[in-house]
Amino acid sequence: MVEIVRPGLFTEIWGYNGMFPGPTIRARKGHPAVVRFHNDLYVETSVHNHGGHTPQESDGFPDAFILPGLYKDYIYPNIAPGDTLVEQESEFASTQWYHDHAMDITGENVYRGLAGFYLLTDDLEEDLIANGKLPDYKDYDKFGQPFDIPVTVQDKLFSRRGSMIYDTFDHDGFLGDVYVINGKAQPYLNVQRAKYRFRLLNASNARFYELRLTSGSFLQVGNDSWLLGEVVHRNTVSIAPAERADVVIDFRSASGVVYLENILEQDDGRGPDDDRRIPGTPLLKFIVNSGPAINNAPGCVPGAALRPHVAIREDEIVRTREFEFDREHGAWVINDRFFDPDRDDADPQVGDAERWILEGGGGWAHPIHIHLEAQQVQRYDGRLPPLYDSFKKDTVQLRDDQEEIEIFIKFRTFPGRYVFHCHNLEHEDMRMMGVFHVQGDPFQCL
Amino acid sequence: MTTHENKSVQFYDDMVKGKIVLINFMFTNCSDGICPPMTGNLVRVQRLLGDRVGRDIFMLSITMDPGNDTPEVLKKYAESYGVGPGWTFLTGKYEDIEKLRRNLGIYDPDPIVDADKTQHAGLVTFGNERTWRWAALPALMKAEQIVETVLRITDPNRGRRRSRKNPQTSQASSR
Repeated sequence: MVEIVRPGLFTEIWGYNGMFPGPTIRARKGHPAVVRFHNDLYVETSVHNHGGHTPQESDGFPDAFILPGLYKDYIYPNIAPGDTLVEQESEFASTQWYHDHAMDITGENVYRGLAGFYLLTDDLEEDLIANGKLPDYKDYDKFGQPFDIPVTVQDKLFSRRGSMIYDTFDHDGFLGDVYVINGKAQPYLNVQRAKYRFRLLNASNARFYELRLTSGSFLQVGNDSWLLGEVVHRNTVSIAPAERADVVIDFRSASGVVYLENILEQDDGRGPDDDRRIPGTPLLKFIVNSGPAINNAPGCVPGAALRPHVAIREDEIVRTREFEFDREHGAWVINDRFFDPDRDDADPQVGDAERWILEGGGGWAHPIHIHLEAQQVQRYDGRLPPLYDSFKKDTVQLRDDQEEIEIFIKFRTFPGRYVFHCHNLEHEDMRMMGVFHVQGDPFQCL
Repeated sequence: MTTHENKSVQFYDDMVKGKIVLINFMFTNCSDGICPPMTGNLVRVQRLLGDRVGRDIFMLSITMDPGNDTPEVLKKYAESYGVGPGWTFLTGKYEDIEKLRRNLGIYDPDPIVDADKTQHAGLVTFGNERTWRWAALPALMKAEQIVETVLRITDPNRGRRRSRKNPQTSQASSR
């Protein structure tokens, strides 16, 4: 039982270690981790480390259930894919998150609280921090907080008594009307006049957000699980369910109160409205301390180099696949088929690079997530992606104005069966998911 | 509501309460649409569920076209598909059925698409009223997989005791 809406009103949640959101796990490149998940709930669970380069048995395949009363060990190698050191350095992740992925019930499981952060660091990121390019998670402000804070953004629905409500009969996309940030409604954060890094995660079931500060702007340093090639200035950041915007906010010239607000409106699971509403709905209040400004992370400025990126080249592509995401008779299909855990929908060889064309439209927005490897966006409806989307992503937005997304993707290290799917959880549960089966000799890997 | 055997029933109290149910919406004049393959697939589901259907598992098909689908029409439809015992076809007042359809999530947010009854009705909603665990799946999925998920979700040993006072709403609030 936790308090979300306000102190004094308790609601039941389903959480990792009973926490809402779950505990933040920190990992280090080259140091494999084993995480044991005990299922003390009455529902089936399966844990997926979103953005992780993980062997199939530990990736949270939908019907690889941890049944109630049992536990399962998940092995996270904490490595990056790639054959060369240069490739591996490009591909190492920073901001993953772990959440439930149990077949047909993911929407309720994640909604009720089964989500948490999985943050990684390697020598490159530690060097960036040491050289002042990124705020330091090991450095604490005068309030005892680190200068690097993970932030979950969710929307929930509550009864008058403060109990969290979910509608298991909503198959379009469940929306709430109370914004919950790191498990609390309308929270505040005391900040000093310094740079803070916020790992903004859209952990909603179906709501799209566009985030803006009432004063100031963002320095985006990461997109989904990976650092960008360089720091990019953003006035607003748009995040679909499961996307992350890893941003630095510079409070040095701020004073008083600054709100993080959402300027997108959305009425149903079809997707957000086209208009932006300014002023938006405040989500999180930053109370800026009036003490002296601190020049931490002085190198975090637009254009500053972050993680060197290795682009997948056209000449590496061995085949093209097309996937059409569509609605059929109230349910959801990919290439006219429902998810079948026993059926393969793609069979790349380990090491292959492929072009995938993701098609949507029809008035429904779908955030598309592919397990195991990063997507490199080539085109949105024939246009080049903006700079911040031109490195690596694990979740892309199929929208009315972005109906065809062309991506390059490699399938490295681990042969096995993985899923790709819409991350609107109600669509995912109504079978908008497919399987890609990486073929290869298991003795080739690592 | 009225069953295809012309019996008058209260939908929730007589057909759902205390039971494991599979619910879908259809109409008999759906000749080009989804209802024939859907009903056919659900017949397969019924066979796979075996003699539990009629014992603790009950299947309910509700017509979206009560004007045309009288109990007699529904009975003929059921017989022509080889529907076994434990599966009831229901008709009733149009407004009541619409309300039920909305509450169970069997609608399209676009009113034009929603008006086309064949477009949105391809789901089978199922649950255990005692444990209050509910889910839904495309009714055209492989029957074996529908059965697997139905048995998993409606397992009487998995779920909490429902403690709400008003069972008619579709949202479960918990204390």
